[in-house]
Amino acid sequence: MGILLIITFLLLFIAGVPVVYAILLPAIGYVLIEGFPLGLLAQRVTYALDSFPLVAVPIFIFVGNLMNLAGVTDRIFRFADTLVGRAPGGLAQVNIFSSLIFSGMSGAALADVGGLGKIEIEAMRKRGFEAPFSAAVTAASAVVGPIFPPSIPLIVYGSVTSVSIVQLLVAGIVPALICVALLMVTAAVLSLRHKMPRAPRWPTVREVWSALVPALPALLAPVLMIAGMMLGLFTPTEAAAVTAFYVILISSLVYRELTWAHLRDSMLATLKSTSAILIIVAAAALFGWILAVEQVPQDFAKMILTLSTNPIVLLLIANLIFFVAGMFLDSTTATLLVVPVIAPPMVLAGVDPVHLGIVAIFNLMVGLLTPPMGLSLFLVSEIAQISLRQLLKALAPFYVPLIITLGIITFTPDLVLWLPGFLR
Amino acid sequence: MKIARRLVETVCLLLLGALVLVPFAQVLLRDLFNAPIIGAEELTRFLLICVVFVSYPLVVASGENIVMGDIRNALPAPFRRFLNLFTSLAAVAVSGLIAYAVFATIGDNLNNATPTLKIPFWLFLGATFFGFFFAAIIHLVHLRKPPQKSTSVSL
Repeated sequence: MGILLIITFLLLFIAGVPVVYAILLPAIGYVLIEGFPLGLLAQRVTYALDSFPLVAVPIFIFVGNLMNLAGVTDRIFRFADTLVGRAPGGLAQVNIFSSLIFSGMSGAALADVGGLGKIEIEAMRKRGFEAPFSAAVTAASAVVGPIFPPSIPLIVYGSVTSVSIVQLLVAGIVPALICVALLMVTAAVLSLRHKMPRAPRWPTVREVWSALVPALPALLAPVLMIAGMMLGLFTPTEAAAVTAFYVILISSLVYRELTWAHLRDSMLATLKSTSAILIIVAAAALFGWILAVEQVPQDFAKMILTLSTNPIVLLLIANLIFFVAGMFLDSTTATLLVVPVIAPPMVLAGVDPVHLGIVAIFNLMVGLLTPPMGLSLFLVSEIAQISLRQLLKALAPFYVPLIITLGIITFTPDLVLWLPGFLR
Repeated sequence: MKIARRLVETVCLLLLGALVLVPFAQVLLRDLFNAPIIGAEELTRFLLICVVFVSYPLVVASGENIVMGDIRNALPAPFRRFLNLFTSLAAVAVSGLIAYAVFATIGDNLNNATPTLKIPFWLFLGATFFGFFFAAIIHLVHLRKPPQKSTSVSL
């Protein structure tokens, strides 16, 4: 019955039924057939959201929306342009570097593509970069966002697995920096080979300073948040709220670009995004309960542990499953439906759940860049006005640093768990 | 219809404002004045439930449910029309049934409340009922022309 439920969900999902109904339709059918009381539907769906860590999700979405509307994004981009615009690859390096800084505030890959991505692609085209290359750099660098704190997918992962969200967020820092470094090297090699444009000279100290001053308040936001969490001053949810007020403060008092209309628009956009994501969390709670009743996770655990009990082999299997899941499902749905089934045998075999979280989310984010359901691909090709074929061709070299990062994350748990180790 | 939409938007904006304000106020009061708000976490969780479900009709009305529409869009027009109609009917049925189930559950929970702040459970369940009931109505209104955007939508 559990397998039938999963197959029905996948068929509805592929047919283009909204995810929330694709999950709820088979789940309700199960409840009615098995004769469970209808009150179960109400309670499972409503109380799935009775979770303090999940409160961070709308607040971080709000921060991302606010930054896009209130001019913070522009200043981050200008600062990055001054600092690394002369490096081989010029604006491509700026694009990657800005994504890292921006992701330190928004926490969602597609928010990065949709917000900063528009500015980046337009600026790169104006400076003579080809549209497919500009789009490829934007899509590849957006993968970094969801593993660098704050991260909405990691918060959802933490709430599903009851793993410390602070540890998960902190664990993403080193892998994100490695990924950025590898992406920058790739962009440099490609740009040297194809003689791509870059700034005519390195900036003077005065130029760096004059770009840094307006960007500094924005750059301090992720520092404030990460330091606050690591020092135990506040929880991730409280860190989100503090960051939101900080961004409101700097965009209204320092940058003087925040208007009531901006605030209202960003709040309305936040409401829709939040509801669209978290309604799936609510629906998936019912689905997850049914899978547990049907003992699907237990059966899967038995099956997978007969294959091997070696953590490395199991991590390779997990990589494959998450990668395939990421190719077909969006990250929230995949986290909610796949993680509760995969995580138990992995943890039983000795895989650290924080390490597994980073492996899972990075895989799902790479999935955003792989057909047939690569949402980042669709969004970027739409923004850059290029075909999917052109984008995939330009993106091909960037899969190399992403796969290398995935390998490093998978095979060096000590590296991933180094920073969280300070919190244990 | 416009007035109803504005009203729901205003309520949602106030709920979201409170959702951001409460944890921030908690940090300030706890860390600076050593006077934490009792039950702040409980209130925040309640606000999250209300924000998600009360704004759900806005998501449905603007066609922003998360969906992978690319395979459907590649199908011939008659198949697309059939799938659109099926999607709308399924959405009406699912939303309507959950709204009914929640309504029935509210009656059984009239005397239950949260432990610290004594927020009645019917308020939580009321938000869920509101979200799914009006989602069903909007899906019904748009039965012939689904509001759901035809392209893939995600965050």
